[in-house]
Amino acid sequence: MRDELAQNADSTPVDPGIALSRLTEVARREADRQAAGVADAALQDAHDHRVASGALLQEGDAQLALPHALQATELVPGNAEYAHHAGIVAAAAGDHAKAVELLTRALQLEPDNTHMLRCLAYSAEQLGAAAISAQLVLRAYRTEPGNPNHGIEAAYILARMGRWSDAVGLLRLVIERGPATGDVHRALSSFLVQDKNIAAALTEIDKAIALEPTRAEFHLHRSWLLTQLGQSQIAYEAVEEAIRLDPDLLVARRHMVTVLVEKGDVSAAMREGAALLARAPDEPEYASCMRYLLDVRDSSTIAKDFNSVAAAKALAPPRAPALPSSLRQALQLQNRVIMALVLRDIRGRYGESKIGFFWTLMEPFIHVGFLAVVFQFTMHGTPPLGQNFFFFYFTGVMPYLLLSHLILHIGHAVRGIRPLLQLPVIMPSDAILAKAIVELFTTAVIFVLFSVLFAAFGINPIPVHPLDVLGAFALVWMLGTGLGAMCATLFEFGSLGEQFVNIIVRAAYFASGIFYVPAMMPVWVRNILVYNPFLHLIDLMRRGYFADYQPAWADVPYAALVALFSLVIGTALILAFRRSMRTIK
Amino acid sequence: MIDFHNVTKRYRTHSGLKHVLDRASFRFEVGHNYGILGGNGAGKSTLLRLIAGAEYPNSGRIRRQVRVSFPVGFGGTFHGYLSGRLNTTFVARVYGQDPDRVNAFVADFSELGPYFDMPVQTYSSGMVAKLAFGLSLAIDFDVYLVDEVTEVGDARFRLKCAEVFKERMARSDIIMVSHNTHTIKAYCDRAAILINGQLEMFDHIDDAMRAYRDVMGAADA
Repeated sequence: MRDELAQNADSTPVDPGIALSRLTEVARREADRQAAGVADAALQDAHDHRVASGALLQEGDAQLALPHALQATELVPGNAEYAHHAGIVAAAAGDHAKAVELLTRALQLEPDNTHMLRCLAYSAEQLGAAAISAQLVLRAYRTEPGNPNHGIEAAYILARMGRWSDAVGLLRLVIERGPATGDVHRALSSFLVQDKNIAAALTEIDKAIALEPTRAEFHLHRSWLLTQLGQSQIAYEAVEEAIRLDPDLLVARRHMVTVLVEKGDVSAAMREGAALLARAPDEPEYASCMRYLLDVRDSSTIAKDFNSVAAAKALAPPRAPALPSSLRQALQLQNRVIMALVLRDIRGRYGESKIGFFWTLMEPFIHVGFLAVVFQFTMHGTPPLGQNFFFFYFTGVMPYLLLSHLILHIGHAVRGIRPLLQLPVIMPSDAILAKAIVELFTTAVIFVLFSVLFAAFGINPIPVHPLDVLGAFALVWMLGTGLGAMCATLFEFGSLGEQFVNIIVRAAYFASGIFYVPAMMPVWVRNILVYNPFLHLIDLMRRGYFADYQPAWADVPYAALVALFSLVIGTALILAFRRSMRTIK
Repeated sequence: MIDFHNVTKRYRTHSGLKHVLDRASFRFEVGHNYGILGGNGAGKSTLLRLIAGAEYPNSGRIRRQVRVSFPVGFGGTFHGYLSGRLNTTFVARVYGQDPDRVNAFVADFSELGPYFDMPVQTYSSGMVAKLAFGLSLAIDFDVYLVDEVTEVGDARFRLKCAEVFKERMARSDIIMVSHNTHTIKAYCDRAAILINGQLEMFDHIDDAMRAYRDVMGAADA
């Protein structure tokens, strides 16, 4: 049977299927024998298991080998080699905890076996005990100082733990002790980079190249270090050497692109990058490298044009910081901003279209004219107040137009100037105040035009109580600005609020006594209408024009209070939401 | 001097909250051009708007003892119905500068010819960019904010911009954001890297370049 196995172990390659079936057969037979209680064959059995395990491991099937390996070391626990082997098989099968257990036992039998130490260190690191692993390898190096591999491995473990300076120290010791290979210097160079010592790293890679001048990767690393130090010309020569030594080393070609960009030769870099991409068209890194190069090409042309700016700055004398602005300057600024917005709004509203401007002026005239003509017929010749229909409707329509324009135009003002809010000197409140001024100005122009027109037709446009008319306009302006500011905030939250406000503004037309006087309404209706503050303001306006008009229900202080209140609330909302209003949506 | 004290700025994206600054404190001193490097999506433009004051931080304090510009070349303020001249007049007024002086400068600088008196909506995008650039440079600021020098005009126009900037360097500074080290190096004597909600300042521009390269992983060890 031993011959059978030995044959299996020696004659490679064998068909794994056949090997496996034979081995299973062996295992079965042995199980039978054990069951029979053949104890004197234990030593022989252990050896058979060891050989079977070795063969299976060679086949690459550590899982199948493991039971045999364990069996062997269990049968003869004092055999260090069996324990050692079982540890290796367990590690290969991925059971590092078992491997540690077995290898520790093996080490107790042979404390100076460096191979066992290394195996144990490997499994310990796999289990996450890197510090112990490093100590074990160092122990191996102490036991066998002539073998630099132990020192190098320990250094790598320390490096993997991030203990770069320890790794550097250890590798320096390895180099001191004996003739070091280029790889040791190369590794030391990498660790020195991590230890932020690029200059020392360069010295080491130079030593590595002196030992093995034909290693392309060494030259590549040297080039990378030189790039880090900003010595792009020597870096270029180094990477060129790397490519000459190994034309298929694509990482070197990739680095060549970087070096060429550093050198400032973007067109050569693009040629190199294009060749790289042609070699490996599916590599996303090379594609993004090419994209980067196109970007660099664009901006480096620009950069060349602007190169002198930094130099000019370097020559500029130092300056003192500017003084913070005073309250007076701040007020001046706001004043200036609002006036600029007013002028921009008046100029920009209609643009080239003169018809638009004409319509804004004509709208109130057509409005008043239409009402006058219609009611002249339905009311049989006498308006509710005064003698002239045109004049009566003028006193109602003017305040209404001011109010509705203030509400709707201010409501849209913030949205309309949102791009302007990217100028930090402009505040949302400035936009609202500017719009309120524009509306007042437009109303004033129309008011004057109406008065002139009335005078031309022989109707006296001078109010009997001018202060009442002035007060009515002032309060309407306050009310409209306050409500408009509230709308500006409301409209930030979507179009539902806009539709709602549109309906309210329309309804106000019918509920405010614009084309009638509240006296014409039934008392119960009037008792509801008097809650509308705007109604009182139209009455105030009419009291200013018609001497004998003294409505008993008029309550101007109430209307004034509502106007003031809306102005306060509107201002507070605008200030509260000024930050979010700036945000581009 | 522009002083950021403990400033946090975050905004909501579809993939969750994004921190541009996370309790960051730093300062831009007078007399230096600063280049701010950062990868795509690090929040460079948001940082620039915070510096400008066009956006507010979620918490913390930003103090400015200088007149800070709007981002150079920003044309969003232009009213399409109004002529280039009226648009520049508006911005000049807002910043309290003599509109005639500003208009004269822009007319000469932007090379729009008769278009300067035509509505901006008749301009090509290149003309709008030239007008915006000219306007930004016409107004006296202590600090000019530059967001990614984009391709404005041809090489000759760019040289003209550079000439104006050069001439300004005695009394004004530049703060520029870019993902490109070349443009930063051309303009700035100091640099900073915006990463992980902090702005790391470097006194020497080459140190910043090296650190930025490490961060971006442009090279392989």
